[in-house]
Amino acid sequence: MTRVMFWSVAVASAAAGGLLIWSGPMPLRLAGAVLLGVATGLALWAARRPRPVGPLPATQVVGGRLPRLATFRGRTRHLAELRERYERLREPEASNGAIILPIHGLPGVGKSALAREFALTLAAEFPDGQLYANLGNAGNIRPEAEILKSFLADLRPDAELPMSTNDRAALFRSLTATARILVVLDAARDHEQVARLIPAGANCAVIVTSRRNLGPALGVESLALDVPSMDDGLAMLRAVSNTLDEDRKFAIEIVDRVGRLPLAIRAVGDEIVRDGGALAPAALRLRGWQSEPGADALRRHLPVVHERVESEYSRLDRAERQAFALLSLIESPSFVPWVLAPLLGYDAAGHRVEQLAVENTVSRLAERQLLTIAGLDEVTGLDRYQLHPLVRSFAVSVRGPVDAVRILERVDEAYLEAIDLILAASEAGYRDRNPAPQPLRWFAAATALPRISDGLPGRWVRAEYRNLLRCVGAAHQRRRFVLCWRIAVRLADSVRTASAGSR
Amino acid sequence: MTRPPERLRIVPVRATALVLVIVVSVVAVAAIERDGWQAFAAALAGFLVAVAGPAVVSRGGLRPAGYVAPSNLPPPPTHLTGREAEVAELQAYLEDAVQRRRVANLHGVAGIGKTALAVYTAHRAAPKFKAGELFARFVPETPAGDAIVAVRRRFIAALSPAGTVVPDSPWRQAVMYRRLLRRLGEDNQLLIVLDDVTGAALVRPLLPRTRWCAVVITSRNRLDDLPGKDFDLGRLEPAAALQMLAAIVGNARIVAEQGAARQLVRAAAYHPLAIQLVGMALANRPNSRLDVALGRMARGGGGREGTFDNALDLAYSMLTSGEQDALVALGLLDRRNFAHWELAALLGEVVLDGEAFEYSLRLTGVGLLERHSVDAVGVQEFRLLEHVERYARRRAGDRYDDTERAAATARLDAAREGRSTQQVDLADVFETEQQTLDKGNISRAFKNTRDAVALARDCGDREAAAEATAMLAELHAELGGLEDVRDLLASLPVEYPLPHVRALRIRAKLHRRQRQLDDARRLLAAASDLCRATPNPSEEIRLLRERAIVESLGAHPAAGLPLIREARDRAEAEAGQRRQLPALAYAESRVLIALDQLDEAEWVLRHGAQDAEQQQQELSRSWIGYEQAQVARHRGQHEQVLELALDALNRFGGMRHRYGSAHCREIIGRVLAVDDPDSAVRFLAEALETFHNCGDAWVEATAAERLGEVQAERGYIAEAVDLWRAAEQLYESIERSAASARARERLTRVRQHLAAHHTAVLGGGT
Repeated sequence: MTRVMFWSVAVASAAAGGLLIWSGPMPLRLAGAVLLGVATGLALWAARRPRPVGPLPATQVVGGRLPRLATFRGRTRHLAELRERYERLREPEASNGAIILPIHGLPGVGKSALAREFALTLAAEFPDGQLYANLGNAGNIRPEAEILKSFLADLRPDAELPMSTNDRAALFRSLTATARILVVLDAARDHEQVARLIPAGANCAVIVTSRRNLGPALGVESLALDVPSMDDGLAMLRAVSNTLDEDRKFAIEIVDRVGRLPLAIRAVGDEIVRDGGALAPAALRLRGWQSEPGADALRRHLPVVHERVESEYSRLDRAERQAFALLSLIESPSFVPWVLAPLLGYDAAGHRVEQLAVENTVSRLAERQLLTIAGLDEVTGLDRYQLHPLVRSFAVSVRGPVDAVRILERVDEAYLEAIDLILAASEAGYRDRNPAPQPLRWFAAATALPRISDGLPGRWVRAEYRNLLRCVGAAHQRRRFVLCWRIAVRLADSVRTASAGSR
Repeated sequence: MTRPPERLRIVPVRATALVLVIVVSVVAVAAIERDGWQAFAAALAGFLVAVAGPAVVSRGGLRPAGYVAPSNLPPPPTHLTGREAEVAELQAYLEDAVQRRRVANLHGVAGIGKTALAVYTAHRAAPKFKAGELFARFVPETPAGDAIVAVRRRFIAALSPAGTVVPDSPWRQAVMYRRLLRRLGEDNQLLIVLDDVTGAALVRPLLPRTRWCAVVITSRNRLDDLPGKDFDLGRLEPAAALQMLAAIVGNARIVAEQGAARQLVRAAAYHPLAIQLVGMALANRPNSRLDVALGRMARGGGGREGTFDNALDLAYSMLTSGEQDALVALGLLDRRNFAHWELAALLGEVVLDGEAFEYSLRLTGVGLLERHSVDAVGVQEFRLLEHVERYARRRAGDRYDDTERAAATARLDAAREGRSTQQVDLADVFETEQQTLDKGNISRAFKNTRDAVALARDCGDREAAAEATAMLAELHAELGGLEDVRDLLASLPVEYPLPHVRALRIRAKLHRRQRQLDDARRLLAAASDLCRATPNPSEEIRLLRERAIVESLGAHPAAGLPLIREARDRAEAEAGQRRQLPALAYAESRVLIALDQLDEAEWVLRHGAQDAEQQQQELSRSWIGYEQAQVARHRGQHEQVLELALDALNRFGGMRHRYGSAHCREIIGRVLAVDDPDSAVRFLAEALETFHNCGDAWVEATAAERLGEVQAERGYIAEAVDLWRAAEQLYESIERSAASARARERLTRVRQHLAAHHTAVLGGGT
């Protein structure tokens, strides 16, 4: 509408101006010249159509390139895996929007270093640059508006920015719609934080690191990063301490004692540098405090690791803290969720749903990376879990004084009850010679345990070896000799098959 | 989907204009022939008026230098399984510009995946919409009028160049909005997505009256009286539902337990969001058998087969008991948006504020809530998802009897009342959290300060909000921040003297770190003047301290001595100021080191360390440790430097204080450079990385410069040159933003390095 009016005015004044110039007295002619000028001006102004500006000037490369980390070692398999996922997601119909590559794992396992190294190998494919942000701030959620500000400052230096998170996110997405930028989001807390920081362009990629597995929420598979192999761990130690292979014995001890955790390897490496490159003192110190972990040992000897574990621990509620601390009493390398019930003293009598509750608690501890997942438990069909050695040191330090003997007795009882139930269901004639100790204390009468477990599978026996060893003693003590012998025979069988297998 | 780069094309309007200009010029030339210069001058004047007039008007900013087409859609779901037909149909409809008005109304029950479909399709159609894509979500509790104004405001801002002032009056907004939409055309089309719409009245004022704009509306029920087409969204086909679950939990698990998987998706009522929730819960237990999970679902829930609630039962049964209690309590809320303290109030005495916050974060993590922070202050708000709200209400109905419900609601009302009438003590938030910070509880200081901002905002106490925001800036500055600190200070109101003084001092600190000493001095002088009008001993001592540090970096460090001594005397004499002594010892040592009085510095630091330990000020203790390492370095006692700096490094590491850690690494690297350049490289590189991420350009440049020197010594000339270039750029940027003699000096030095090695590289030597 306006456009039509505008053009009518312009054309009319041009026509009137033209007519007046050619005829009439001088003042009218002058007025005609003015009108002509106005018409020209209006026409030129209207023609000044906004030029759609490309989001980024062709010459601008955003963000700085970080230098390669001199001490990065190993992880070749994971780098290859990330590369493969990246190539797969680049296929036309493989995903929608920017490519997202999440990495998750234990605190200090080297997620950020891997993300950085991978970003360096990808750099050439993102000619418009790289953006990097740490999504936490001393362990807190860093506000998205703040991170967006740092991104926008890189994309549009000197521009005045809106204050609200929504507006900044919208501007960020608009600016990156056609860009080819690689974004590294380090230490993300949840998927909501990530979602606001994803660039809009399908030619962008985002590498996300987080403790929790954000894959399911982000709709892509996340790379689970575990501690490195012993060889990679040794290579890391050599790199961070700048030592050669001479003290291999001590090097192995150090890497093993810190559970191959890169953050800890680096912290010990600092000490080795201070000691002038000698490995022995550091190894002996570790041996010293780990053989007798005092209340404050981890904090005093590896404060960086302590801080990371503590930051997760501090987010637990009271019940979960208690559960976490008590799990450090379990000696076997891995365990099943239900051991938490006898640890906490939840028996089947008043606690019908507690079985579920402890499963959920254990699962949540694992999601928070305070426990690590150790494969399937063939008896219950649930996940098995384990405590990283340094996390265990932490758990011991927060456990406080407890009556360990009594608590472990409860665990033994629960084990005996479980094995008894399973044997009764899977071995003909067992029950006749070995009547059930009524009533069941740790399992509900209708428990599905005997039904879903198929006897006592060999792998399960091996995974539970140390617990079952305790059970032999416990059954003997309780004068339940048949049970005692059954377990002992199973243990012997498993040792035999294991040694046969290794031969 | 990507948009192809802009192609050159003939714009009809421009062509017409060109023709017109030519015609007019011919006429004007003819006029000059006849009437001479008068007619020419008149035509020129008219021309200028016509061009300049609109140009003046357009300076208000309707249009654009530097305008970017908005692309405001949220990120699309990575996969959208089982909706291929719907996507194709919707996309075809949106792209079909022959329609007179393209308005697609997507409706279906909560959790059926309307938003996902809308966003997914919008992304796919985006390349056809050159004018951009706009997205807005309506919050149900907002009154319709406010919601329309807010959304329209955002749309206008998005369609206008940066800095455009959007009028407040709804009527003028409407005019502006219409005018902007009139700019659309066949090759300049716009796509709008309006999410979670509760009534046609909400969207009608936003619907453009042009055929060059397509609109997608999602709503729970079909909206009446809207132009365009309806899309009724139903549940997924069983096969697609299974495929979706497989995408989340991994195909292997589905293949291994086909039967259980089928039962799971059936139990999830084939609702995409329900399957998403079930999948997220299962993905965290990667080895658990699906049939076991199914059993849990039956035990945890009520067995309402085939309903959405049933699917939520599985998600619910996989929550810990604390999280379950939290979710049920949220069912008592009267609205979907809430803050964590409201949850704490509903849960009563048994749950602490901090725990309620964690529960809210966890429910967000499992996909039951949304989390949002409105600005850089970072106060978190939570929101129950539409389908979860109903579920929580039902659970709350089952669990609470009338008295319990009344008690919880009363607690909530009391908490709200308490906040809005300031029964909570906000005085001295700055000093309190400063002490939390001094003790090294950085994380807690952040959390408390954010809570204080939220509280101050709720009770309308602008001064307390300013104080808390100033503290937040202080915290960021402590961690080496630059842009983030400026951002926070920019939002600070200037009418309250005390927070204003603090803001000036913090700004000065940023300048001091960039060695822009004149600016720092100017700001500190202004702050001192202000402080005279409203005396505040703590802040006065801090100002003296900051001034002393500035002088320690300048040409006459001795000028810092009287300042820091005055500060120390006051801190010793005045009540409650002894807690500043450790921080003052640190500053005094900086002055003394600059004056090369190392013995005095050592003495001061030893006492400072004692004070810090007595008062359990872990943060001050760490900085003092770092400073002790500096003294040792100036004395050339390298082993002691390593010992002291490593101790400080551990202290900073224990607080997750990256900036402090990086300083320690830097000094270790400098000392190692003498005998052990390989290790030095590692420490300096790690320091450089941290500084790069903090935003403190000066230390980053220093670290890069030094690392370059070590690399050059080791013979890695290419790396050295790269690092020096980086340092050069950083010094240049510091020098550009404000005069800094030190930056100039450093710049010259780096350029000398570069020049020297440039010849070396060309000459073939290393």
